[in-house]
Amino acid sequence: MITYLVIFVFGLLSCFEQSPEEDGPLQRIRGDYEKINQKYNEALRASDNEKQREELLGVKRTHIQECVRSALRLAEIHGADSVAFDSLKWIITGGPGYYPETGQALDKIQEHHLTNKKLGLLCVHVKVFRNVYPKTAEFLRSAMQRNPDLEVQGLACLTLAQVLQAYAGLAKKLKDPTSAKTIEEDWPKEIVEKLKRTDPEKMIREAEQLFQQTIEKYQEVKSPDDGTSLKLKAEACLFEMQRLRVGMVAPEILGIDIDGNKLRLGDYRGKVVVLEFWGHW
Amino acid sequence: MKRLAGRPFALLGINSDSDKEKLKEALLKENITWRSWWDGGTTGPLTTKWNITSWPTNYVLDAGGTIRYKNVYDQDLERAVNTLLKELEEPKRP
Repeated sequence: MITYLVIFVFGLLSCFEQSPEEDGPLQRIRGDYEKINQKYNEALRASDNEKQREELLGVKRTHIQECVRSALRLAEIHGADSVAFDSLKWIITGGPGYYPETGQALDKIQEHHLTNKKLGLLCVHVKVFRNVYPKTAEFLRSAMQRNPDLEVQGLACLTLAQVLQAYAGLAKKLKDPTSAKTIEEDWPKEIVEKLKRTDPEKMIREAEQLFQQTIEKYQEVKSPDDGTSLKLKAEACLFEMQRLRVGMVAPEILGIDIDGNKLRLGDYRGKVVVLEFWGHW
Repeated sequence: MKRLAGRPFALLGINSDSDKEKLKEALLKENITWRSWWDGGTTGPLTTKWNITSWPTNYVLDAGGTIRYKNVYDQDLERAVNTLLKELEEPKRP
């Protein structure tokens, strides 16, 4: 009974489809992960000492890494079956975060599970792992080209476009000495070196082409996280790339403010304007 | 942003709270006086059109409406705004 409750709660929390077969070992790993999270999050909330919190975070990460390693070992033992896939899927989408094992998990997925019809959500989540670049791009390209499922292809295509767009932006910033410094401090050396050798314009052109491809070829596909069609998402990405770049005149915004009064961006010409997208949560 | 009172500057928000009444209460409580469009939630029309996928996101426009900076905060935001105000307030060179 508790087992099903853990799976159900975990499923709700993670908002992805439940695996039809919950294998013992993977279930245990996920249970351990949940317990670690609960325990250390409570301790972190209770602590008001910065140093102590840093230590707690360090210990938490070490324990979670153990879970990730266990899941990877499980996948290694199971090879190409559904337990292996579920273990690897958990590493990428289950929330543990980035570890060196994340890259290894991606390698295994590419080796044994590239044609799996459930790859879609994985493709979407993979863009979160910035330290795995350029492996993320290679993985998404392979999935798009070799997976037989239209939804998986579409999600891989859109995500690849977003990844290329993001890294092209970084590559551009690296060409400017004032912005380069922050990036060099913030990112792993190998990635910085790779990006310095990249042509950002070429990456942007490829991203645009992939967004276009998403609009034309995958318009029927809906995103698993919010149900929006990939066509709408790709159009928004293209709009941002082509109309919202630094140096372009901002599009007009005409609407109603919170008090019900008309608000028009154009009325503020002649003033320096900060447009802030914000919310409480 | 009170320091900028009297200078040609405006802070405009696009808010993605889903509960408008709660938002109004919060605005009063936090003494937020700058105007915001209410986009009705995180998948509202403006938020979707401008491809906003993380918050906060900002755009800094000069007096001509051109986007000059994107996603600058704290000291970088202050510097950006001051640069643009200087551009606007300095006498034009022939």
